[in-house]
Amino acid sequence: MRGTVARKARIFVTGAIPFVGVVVLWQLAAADSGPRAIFLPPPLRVIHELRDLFVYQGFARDVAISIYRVTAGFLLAACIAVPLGLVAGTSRLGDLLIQPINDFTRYLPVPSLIPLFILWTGIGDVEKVLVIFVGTVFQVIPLVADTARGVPREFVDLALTNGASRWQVLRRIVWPWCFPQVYDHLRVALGWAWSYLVIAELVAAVSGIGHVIIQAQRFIQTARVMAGIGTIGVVGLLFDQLFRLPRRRLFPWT
Amino acid sequence: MRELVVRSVSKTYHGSDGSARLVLNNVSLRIPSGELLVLVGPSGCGKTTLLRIVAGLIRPDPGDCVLTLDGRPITGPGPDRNVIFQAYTSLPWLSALENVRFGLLFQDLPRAEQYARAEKFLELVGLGEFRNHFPRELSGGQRQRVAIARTLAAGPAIMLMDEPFAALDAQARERMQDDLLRIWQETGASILFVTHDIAEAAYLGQRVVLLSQQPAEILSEFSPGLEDGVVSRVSKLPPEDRAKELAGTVGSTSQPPRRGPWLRYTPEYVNFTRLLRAAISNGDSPGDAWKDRAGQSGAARMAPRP
Repeated sequence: MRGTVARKARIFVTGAIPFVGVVVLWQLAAADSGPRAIFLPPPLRVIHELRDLFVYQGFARDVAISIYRVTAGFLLAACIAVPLGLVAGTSRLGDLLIQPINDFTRYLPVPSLIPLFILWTGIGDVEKVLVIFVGTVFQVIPLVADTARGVPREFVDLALTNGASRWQVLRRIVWPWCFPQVYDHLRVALGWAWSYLVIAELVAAVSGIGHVIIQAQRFIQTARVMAGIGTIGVVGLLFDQLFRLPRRRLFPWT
Repeated sequence: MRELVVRSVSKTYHGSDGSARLVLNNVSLRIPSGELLVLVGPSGCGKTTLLRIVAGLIRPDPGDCVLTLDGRPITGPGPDRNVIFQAYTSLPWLSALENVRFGLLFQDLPRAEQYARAEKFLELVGLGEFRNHFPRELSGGQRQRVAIARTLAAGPAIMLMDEPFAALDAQARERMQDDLLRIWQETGASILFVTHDIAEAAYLGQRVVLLSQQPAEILSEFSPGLEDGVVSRVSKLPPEDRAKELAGTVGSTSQPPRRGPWLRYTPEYVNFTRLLRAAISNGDSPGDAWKDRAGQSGAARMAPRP
């Protein structure tokens, strides 16, 4: 037991070293007063700002709203992209139907679509979720399709010679084979979802982390901008860890 | 009686550039119930293609070919013809027991019975205590045992084995060959076994069929009869005669003869491998090795060449 505690401590410390390094460099480069403070306030100032945000500005609500939007947009994208990707990767007809239009939409810059989304759905949560959804779904489909294409021919033949139907092959062979890799793709996609969240909240928003950042920028509150960015980083890190946690239990064979 | 009949089967592969390559030329085979037939030939000669055609995974060239199992034509893959491949034989996300059960998953069997049969066959291949292990925790030989157990549990009319032991080290391979013989005798399964390993063919084959370099056609056929101390039969016949000829040759296979590890130490086995090797290197004439044996035993005969 003590061995594993020591091991975990070592892992944690090793992971923390780059963070400490960045903070030290930052402290050296920053200034607490004068015009330089506007460009790069020191770390402690940002931490004070973060505390103020939570205590006086109701920042927790913004964080919660942002998490809600990311989760909704991401889950929606996952629910659509995974089945479509599996179909594109396993059926020729599906591939012909899905891939070309997907490649087209994949290259449309999502920010350029925001005016349309606002026009169609207003400036509420639906619009923000839509931006995140569109930003991730078309990226995940080809990744899932590629994974499904890699299913070894022998596994499919094995199921077929045992009397499996097409649907059973999909369920008993293709899905279990793809699941671990798809899970990793989704983990990466969650990172993109956070980027699109900020893009969505920079435009026509009244709440959310992105909104707080853009408000602070208007008043040149650099420390507050950095506090907002830092919050996204921390939440993102937590989400990523949360995603990793059940991996062993979900895929004991890997 | 369950039997597999393959008559006048050819296969041409068409390249994307319009080229055509004939890989199987007019092959005829007949495997009665309970027989272990080994197809031996050089790598890439089309053995696997033939096996995949029997499995129903690919279709032969259209023509007057006949492909039946128990008198019913083979039109696609089915649970009555189970394949064991060289690699990728056990599903990595399933435990050994679940892998064996996989062969029963698509049959109308109650869950409890699926597990009961899976347990039984996992025991038969000696992996009872590994039931909860994932394939990555098993050795290559153990994985192939799992595949054999899965195939047997599914109760196919015939097991199709595509160089199943080729990826194993020499020791594991010999052990698996012995186990296969034991399982074959215990279960009375029909087996079509494909290999490029001459020693393996000689050791396992109740009947050994020699295929030529591509396009594969049947060069000759041996019934080693090692347990009797004689190589009893060699034939080289045109395909149209073969079908008739073969129909009458194998009648004594309902009772599988005694075979086992001791075979490896008999002079008959050594001689037979030499004979096979010579037959392969000479293309289609059995050569000197054959004459030696024929002179000694007298029980062997060679069919006249067409």
